[in-house]
Amino acid sequence: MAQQSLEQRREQAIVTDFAGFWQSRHRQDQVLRAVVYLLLVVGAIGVMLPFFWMISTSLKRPGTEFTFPIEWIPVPPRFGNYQTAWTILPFNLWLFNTVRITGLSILGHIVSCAIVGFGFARIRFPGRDAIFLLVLATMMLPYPSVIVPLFILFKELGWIDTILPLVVPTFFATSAFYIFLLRQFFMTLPLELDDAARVDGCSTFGIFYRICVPLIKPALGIILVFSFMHHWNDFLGPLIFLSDLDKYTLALGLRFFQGQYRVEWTLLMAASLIILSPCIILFFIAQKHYIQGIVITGVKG
Amino acid sequence: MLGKSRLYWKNVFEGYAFISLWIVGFVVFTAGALFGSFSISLTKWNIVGTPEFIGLGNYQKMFEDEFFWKSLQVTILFLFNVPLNLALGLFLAMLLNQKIRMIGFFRTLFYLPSVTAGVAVSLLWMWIFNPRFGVINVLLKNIGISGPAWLGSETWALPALIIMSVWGVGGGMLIYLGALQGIPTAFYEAATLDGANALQKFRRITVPMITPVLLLNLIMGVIGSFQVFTQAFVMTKGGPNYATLFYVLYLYQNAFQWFNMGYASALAWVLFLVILAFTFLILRTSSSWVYYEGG
Amino acid sequence: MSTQMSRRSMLKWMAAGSATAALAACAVPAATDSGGSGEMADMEDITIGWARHGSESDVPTETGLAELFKATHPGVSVEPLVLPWDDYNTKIPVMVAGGTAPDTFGCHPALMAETHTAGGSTPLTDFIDAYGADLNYDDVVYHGDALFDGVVFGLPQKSCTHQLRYNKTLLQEAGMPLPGDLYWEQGADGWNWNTFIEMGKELTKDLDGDGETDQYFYGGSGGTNQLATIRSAGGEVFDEAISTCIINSAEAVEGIKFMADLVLEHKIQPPPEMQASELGINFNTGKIVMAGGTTCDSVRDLREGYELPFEWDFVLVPAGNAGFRCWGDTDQIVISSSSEYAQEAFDWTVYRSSLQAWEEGYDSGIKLAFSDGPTRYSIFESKAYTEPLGALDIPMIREGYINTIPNPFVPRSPQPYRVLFTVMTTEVDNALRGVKTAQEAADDMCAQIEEILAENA
Repeated sequence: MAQQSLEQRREQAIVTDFAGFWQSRHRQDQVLRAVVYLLLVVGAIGVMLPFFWMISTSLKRPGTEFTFPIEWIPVPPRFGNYQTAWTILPFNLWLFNTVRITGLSILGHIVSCAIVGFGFARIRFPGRDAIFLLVLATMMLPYPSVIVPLFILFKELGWIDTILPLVVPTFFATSAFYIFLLRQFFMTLPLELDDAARVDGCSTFGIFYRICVPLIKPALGIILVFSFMHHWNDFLGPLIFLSDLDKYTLALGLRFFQGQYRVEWTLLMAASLIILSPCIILFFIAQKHYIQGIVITGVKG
Repeated sequence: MLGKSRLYWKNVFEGYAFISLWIVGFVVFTAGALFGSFSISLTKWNIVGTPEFIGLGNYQKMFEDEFFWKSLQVTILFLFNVPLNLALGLFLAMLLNQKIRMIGFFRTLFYLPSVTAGVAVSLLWMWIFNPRFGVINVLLKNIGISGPAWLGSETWALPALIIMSVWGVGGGMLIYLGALQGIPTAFYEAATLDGANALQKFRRITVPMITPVLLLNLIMGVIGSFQVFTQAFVMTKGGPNYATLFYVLYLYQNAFQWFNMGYASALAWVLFLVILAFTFLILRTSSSWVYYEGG
Repeated sequence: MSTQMSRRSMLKWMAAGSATAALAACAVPAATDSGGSGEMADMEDITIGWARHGSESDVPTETGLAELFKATHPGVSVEPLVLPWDDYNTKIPVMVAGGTAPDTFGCHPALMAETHTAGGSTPLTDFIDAYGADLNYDDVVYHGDALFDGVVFGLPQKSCTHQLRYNKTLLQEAGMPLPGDLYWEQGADGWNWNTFIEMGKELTKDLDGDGETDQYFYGGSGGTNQLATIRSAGGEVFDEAISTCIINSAEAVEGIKFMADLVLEHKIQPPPEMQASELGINFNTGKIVMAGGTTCDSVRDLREGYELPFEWDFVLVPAGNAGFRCWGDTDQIVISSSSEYAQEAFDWTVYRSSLQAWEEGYDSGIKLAFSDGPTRYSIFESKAYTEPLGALDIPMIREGYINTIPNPFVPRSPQPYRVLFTVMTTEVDNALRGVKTAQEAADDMCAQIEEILAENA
């Protein structure tokens, strides 16, 4: 009994000590920061491991990708793989095509989905919620089952083998996800903003354009990033609607490196990394400008 | 009374004006495809011959089709990735919302997997999961653990695909990050003055303020998981022993490999109803836990 | 009660509503494209669409062959559409369903059968007869793949046999005879199940002494070699009328049992879960003595700049009681039933399938040997084949073609792909895992196959 209470007392002392240590704002801050760094670094290694292998494979001699034990740093590294991967197929041309489709689509998505998202978020009108469910419903039919009807539709429009089926729909808010996303962000803005603006004589469109849009810049940044990534990597749309080799996109081209029975691992990884690089740069810039993040008081101290 | 009514009509007009773009887009680009796919679901059609109208025959066939049930079961099991991704995404976003050095670098890094093109990712993971020569089991062997066969194992194939989906958590993380940024700092300052600790601030401020995007990620996660396809298509072809026969994979096989376009379309509409029911349920309950400033 | 309506009218009806709205909404003139294929019917210059599945090096190949064809056929341009395997198998059905199938397109056996059943391909017998002796049809490999009820529906674009690739270096280091040499020996010491198992026991090794096998003799292979093994045991999937499943016969079960024993009893092959979705990774590690490989895709490892860390060659799947059987099949070029230029399309088909295309291509730098596989027996003697693949045992590759029995190798059943690559492979795997006995697995196969037969009766 006595021993136990002694132990308890000791424990208590430790707890008090720790509490004292913890109460120091500076210390608290330091420990938290160390934990955050530790978690980030461990997570980063986990996330990066596949990429290390991607890079390593992209530098190997074809045929030696899987020599065992795993060879992480190929000797000598074959940087020539990057040039081969890029020139074996007309990737420069496909880059141009992809940039054109991606650029137009981003513009279409941002403009149209912002307008529609605002309508669903901040104006009350009968039928709104039912229509919104319909918006969501358009995402629920699996794509493989609408491919054929869509192909026939665009064929009847005479749009097959042009970029129109890939670009025009984006200007009509056909992405339910982005509408949904922007609606959710618009909804987080206080309603008092609208009232104040109305008192100042602002029209609803004015409220949308002048007041709300600037406040959801982070969300627009997210859409910029998402729609860029989506169209940059989309192969199914181009696959269905484009048939002319000269009109292909990068993502479609990348798939050539996987055959029926074999994969050109070195070229696939090299080309993937090249195609990935603009995404990295774009994301780095976008997160700096749009998603700066805030300083939570508790951590900053 | 009259003023109220005028505001009502103004809202109706403006509301529909704002969403008119979507309505046009829906009528032109989506409705036809939906209707077309539904029409096909009522027929027997091997893509070249004449579609033969068979009423609800395809839908009846489903009840007796063991692979329909199997694929539904596999897909619902895969839904476990949704809460996992939600929690991990939020956790990561909180970590990446700190003012620390190299934050841009870390954010980019964690987002990278979501950016990498599909074909490379699926093939990459095939190597990672290779039971004998892949990196996971090699590392496990180094610490004395004999790893499972992953994609080759009936038990582990689905968990393996879930692990792979967690690797791409960066997309959800990005949405949280945007939402976290929208929380006014004043809220936290006031809470600090009231003596709230970090956990209290998280529960009382952060979570309520991001519930709208939590709802977004939840619904998108559910819809996306029901439609998951590519990984299984490239990596497992539905095996081993149908352990990864996702619903949409089975649908694809019917449509494009066996040319049962009618049956595939019927499968699509049943999935549509299932997803709709899930979404409707989530939206119904959401009013009790989602906090909106406006609307 | 079933009502029939014309496919076109129904599809048009489906699209009509939305199409009209599109016109009203964005005022884009719809080109009324009624021509099923090709460009405007300019009599001077005809364009033939040509689609095939292929990988990166097949893009310049097809462009180059189209140019060579144009040199001898002025006024006819061929527009190639090359797509990767998975994408091709999505795109072609969509194009066919949309009524815009390319004039000519390559069909692997499953697509060939599906396209034929659906009425998407043109019968070629009359065209071939009109061509006469010049075509030398007897030289063409695998007639069977193109034949439906005695009518020819295609000429081959490529042909493949599925054999075993063996790691020569590992065998030589162990002082073992090469399977390729054993093949030519008749009798008990030849290349049969017994020698396979014996060699397997010698060459399956625990290299680092930790109690786990590091080097396996056999890496296994997919459904193609499984069917070859079942047939080499004297088994078959269907009876001759394709009305009954007979893969649960004693002979077929013996073949399945042989495959299962390699894993469960002799342990010279890793369990099937260890080999899932591996895309050639295992063999390329150099820790496996032999594994399945095709004679038209695997040979790409011999191209310039490629280098496996060991020497390798091909051999057939070892002989069972019924002798050697080898999976072999062709990708056939079919002419779409919607093509408006059937004669020109046929001319292209003849050229694309010919020894002439191989040789002219080879002289202009196109090496079909690295991807397509001979479409004619005469190609085995051509420098267009022997020069690029000189490092390999070419007579052995040819043996695969000779032992592709029956011809066609893929049964003319409904949904052959599903039967072989979903039902059969899944159940054989179950036997290899020890979840079911060979007999149980075979019975379950038949139960499912009978269901497919009944569905499509």
